[in-house]
Amino acid sequence: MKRNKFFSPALMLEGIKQTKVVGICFAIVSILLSCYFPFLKIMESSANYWKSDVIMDLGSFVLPIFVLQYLMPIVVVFVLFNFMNSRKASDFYHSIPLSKTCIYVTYTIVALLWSLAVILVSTFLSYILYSFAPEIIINSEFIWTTIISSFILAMLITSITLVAKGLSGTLFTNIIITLIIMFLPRIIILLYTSAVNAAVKITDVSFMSFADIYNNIIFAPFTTNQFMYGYIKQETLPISNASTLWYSAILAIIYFVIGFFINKFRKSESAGKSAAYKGVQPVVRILLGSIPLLLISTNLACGLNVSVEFWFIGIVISLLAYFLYELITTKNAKKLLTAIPFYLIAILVNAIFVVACVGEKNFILNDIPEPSEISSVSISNYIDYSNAINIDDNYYKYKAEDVKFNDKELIDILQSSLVDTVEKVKESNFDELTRDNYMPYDVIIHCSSGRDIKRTIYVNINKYNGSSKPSLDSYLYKNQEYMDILFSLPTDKELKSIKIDSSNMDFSKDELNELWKTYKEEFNSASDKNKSILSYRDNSGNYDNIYGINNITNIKVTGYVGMNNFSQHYLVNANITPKTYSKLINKTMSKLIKDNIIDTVKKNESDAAYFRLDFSDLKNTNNNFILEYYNDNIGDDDLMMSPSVDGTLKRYNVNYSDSGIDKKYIPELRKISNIIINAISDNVDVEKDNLIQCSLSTNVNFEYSYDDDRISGYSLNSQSETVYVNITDEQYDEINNILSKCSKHTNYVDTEN
Amino acid sequence: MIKAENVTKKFDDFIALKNMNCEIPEGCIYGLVGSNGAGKSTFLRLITGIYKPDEGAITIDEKPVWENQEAKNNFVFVPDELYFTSQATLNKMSKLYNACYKNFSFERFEMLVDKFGLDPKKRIASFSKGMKRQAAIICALSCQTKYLFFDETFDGLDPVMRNLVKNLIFDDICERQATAVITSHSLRELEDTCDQLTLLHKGGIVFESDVQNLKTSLFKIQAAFNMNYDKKLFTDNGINVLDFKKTGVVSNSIIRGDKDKVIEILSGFNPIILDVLPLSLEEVFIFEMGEMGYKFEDIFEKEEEKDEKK
Repeated sequence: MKRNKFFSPALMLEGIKQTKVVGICFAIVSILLSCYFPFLKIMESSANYWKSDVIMDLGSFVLPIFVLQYLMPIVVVFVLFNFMNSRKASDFYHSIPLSKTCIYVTYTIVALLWSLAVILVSTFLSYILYSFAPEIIINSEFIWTTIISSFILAMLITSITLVAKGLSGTLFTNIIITLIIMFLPRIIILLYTSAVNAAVKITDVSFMSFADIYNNIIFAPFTTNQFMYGYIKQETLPISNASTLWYSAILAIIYFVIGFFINKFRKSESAGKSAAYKGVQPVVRILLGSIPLLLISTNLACGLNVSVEFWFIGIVISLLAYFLYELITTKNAKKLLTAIPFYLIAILVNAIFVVACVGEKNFILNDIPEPSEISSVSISNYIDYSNAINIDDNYYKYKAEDVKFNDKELIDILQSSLVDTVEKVKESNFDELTRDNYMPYDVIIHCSSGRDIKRTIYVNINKYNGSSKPSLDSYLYKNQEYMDILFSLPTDKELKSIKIDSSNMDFSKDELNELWKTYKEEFNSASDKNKSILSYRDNSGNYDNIYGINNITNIKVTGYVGMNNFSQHYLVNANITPKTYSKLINKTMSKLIKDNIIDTVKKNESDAAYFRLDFSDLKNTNNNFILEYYNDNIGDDDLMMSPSVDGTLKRYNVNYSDSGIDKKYIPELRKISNIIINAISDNVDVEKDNLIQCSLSTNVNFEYSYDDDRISGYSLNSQSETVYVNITDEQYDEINNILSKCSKHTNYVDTEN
Repeated sequence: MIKAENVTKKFDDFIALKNMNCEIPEGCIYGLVGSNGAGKSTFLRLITGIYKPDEGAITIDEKPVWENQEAKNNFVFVPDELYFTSQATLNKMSKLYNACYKNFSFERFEMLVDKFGLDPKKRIASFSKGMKRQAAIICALSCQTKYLFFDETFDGLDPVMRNLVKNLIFDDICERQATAVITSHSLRELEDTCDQLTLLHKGGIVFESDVQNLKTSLFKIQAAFNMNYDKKLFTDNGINVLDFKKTGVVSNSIIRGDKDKVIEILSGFNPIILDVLPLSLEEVFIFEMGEMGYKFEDIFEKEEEKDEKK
């Protein structure tokens, strides 16, 4: 019978048996976490008087499942491949009729199976538990995102641990080398790029786009500090990016293959030794000694002064790391003497780092092509960026990179501006460039030789036309390709997600697609000027009332242009995109009705002891109306303020402002809320001309803190919903009558009218 | 057949085996003797594919051993330092061996467990040193491989168990034409077990020979004659005397040659006493090595003294 050289099912079962204690422990922890977080969310949502839908975000969902995969693969691989640390165990595995390849592949599969099992159990358990809270809405895509991202993390960490296990033969060195492989390359890349970027200032040295920290799934979650709190929304969570997943999966495969060869050539007699191969011991020692020095080197490379204390601390930590590692692993003080000369290599590594940083800085600053050498330029960031939201990952920025301008005058302006910019950087006068008369442009210079150079060029506005805008605009607007991009929307292929900004309402994928379809039609038929307004690129757009009644909200779309992840906001405006506007409002209203939100509001109103009425600008441009109910069951003096009225009834030129209304008028004031509530109930299909926007707030969402089962404190976490109401003239007059009766008021003269 | 050709193995600066050549025929019990550090365990680890030779080649049935699943399926190795998985019981270990060896027999396993009287459900970690060795032997013999390698296997076994293990090995040799390679630092251990013996010293083979030949080619003659005689009486008649001692009229001689012919020659002198006494393997080794210029004590005595002290 010919045996499979790469895989043994029987050994796999043995491996599973050997790791069942560890696997089951992790499964239990995972199950507990999977129950704990949904339980918290369910408790949180049950405390919500609104009983409105709570849209679950990916961050909260994935976190308890994802974090476990940082540790689990390491422990499982350590247990499975523990034989590599013991001579007798290693001899046994080398003598049995299974090749090293077979053991390596089979045990790796065992480790991955455990991870996958734990991920699947936790993911589906979480999903099932969340389903017990009907008001919590989870996108079913979360399941696959969670499973795939967590599994790729497990793959990467498993492979790294396998490499570390192959290179070393004791638990201590296993751990140290695992950590080094996991973190050190990223730390070096990060320090190098940040040192060069800080020194150069006019380019971003992401010298290899795959080296971007967002790409590595181990680091990606920590690129946003919100990760640990689970507040990250789906579209901004880096671990769900395709580029992150692909990069990390490929990296995992590379490490797996490296581990395979290391394991294949590893000798049985290496078991129990700190290093399995000659050279590993000094290399690890040198790396450990180099890391603390790198922090000094980075500062030196940036051109910063390094204080004596910093030098001292860095060198002491470096020496400690270097010699302690040697002492712990060899347990032989004499070896320290032989290790002394090698410490110079750690210093040399740092010297090379500094030289490389300075060399790259000088290269970048001296790399200025002559105008004759430039065939064309691309300008990525100049799209009236001053008004653009999220300029960093703006859709148009990435699209514009593909447009090539070859006007000679434009090239001349940018080339001479680059010379000026570089001179300022060299003279350490960079601050001058950040003043108002300079405008930064992200430019890709396409040289005739085929080389591309990416620079941020500061153009002196005064120098070229003296107006508030550089004359570069005319070159840009002359280019039809550029203009087409400017007035386009992301294509369906480029889109990854659509979301209604600033809405707690959950819209299904179909509803969002339908809204986007309507929006696209309206956008495409709008004038160029209006397109600019809708995509936040026009200075003259009125964004003061961005969440007001005309500019009701944004549609936020995310997706990819090539490997770049973009996030772009589009305004929903009552005048420019009326169909989208109506659809959005009606959908929101019908959902509110469906979810009995009005009943909840009524109930709150009847329970409330105090309330606050803020009708600032009611029925004028913004039409904001805030009604807040304070429940008297809470018993907090600070919250038990007197009812207050604040606002302007513009139609009557009356300004109401009273924070101390007599309590006897409370029933009267309640009538106002009744008017609003009745208006909401009566008018589901709203007409935009009669709309007011009413923010109904209650103090229902309290977070209590307990001390020996006694409530010792709480904090207010105001929950509000925005609803849209048709309000008739009669109702409006009635509100004014009530306010006139119960509040002191001053005449208000509308200067605009 | 196991063949080692010019095998050299180094550990850093230490040469464990140097240019070793050896052939182990099938169907025999092959003994490797030598002091600690002679290279016995290293040699066994080389022929079991645990170590890769730095120079030379090792083949089993003309197949290289290193990283060769098929070749490895033909042998099982019981090392001097035994390995069992954590929380292992004999039952669990049998499953692991079954996962690795295609001829593993649970029937034989149960029979052996019964013979050794071990509890297969009990944790091996709680076994005594001898019981652990028995457990390893049970697993190994259940694999029913063509070759069996035992490194210092009889260490820690009581005489009863030694005999049981030896008998089981004999059974395997007889019934399945298996080949066993056994190492020991004690000659007495292998004396009644092996067909072939090889003496290793400082990483090289001092000599190898068939045990039966060794024992029959050398013999001790105790003789007394009614005349005054000395060694010359023997040598002048063409007898190869390796050692001659005379107390009174009785002499003890170690002789190499044809036993019957020597008796016939000496009977012609009308001896009062003429007895052929068997030689222990140790005695044979002393004289054989003496002839080769080695001192037996240099290789064995110190080790055995250490054993006795223990």
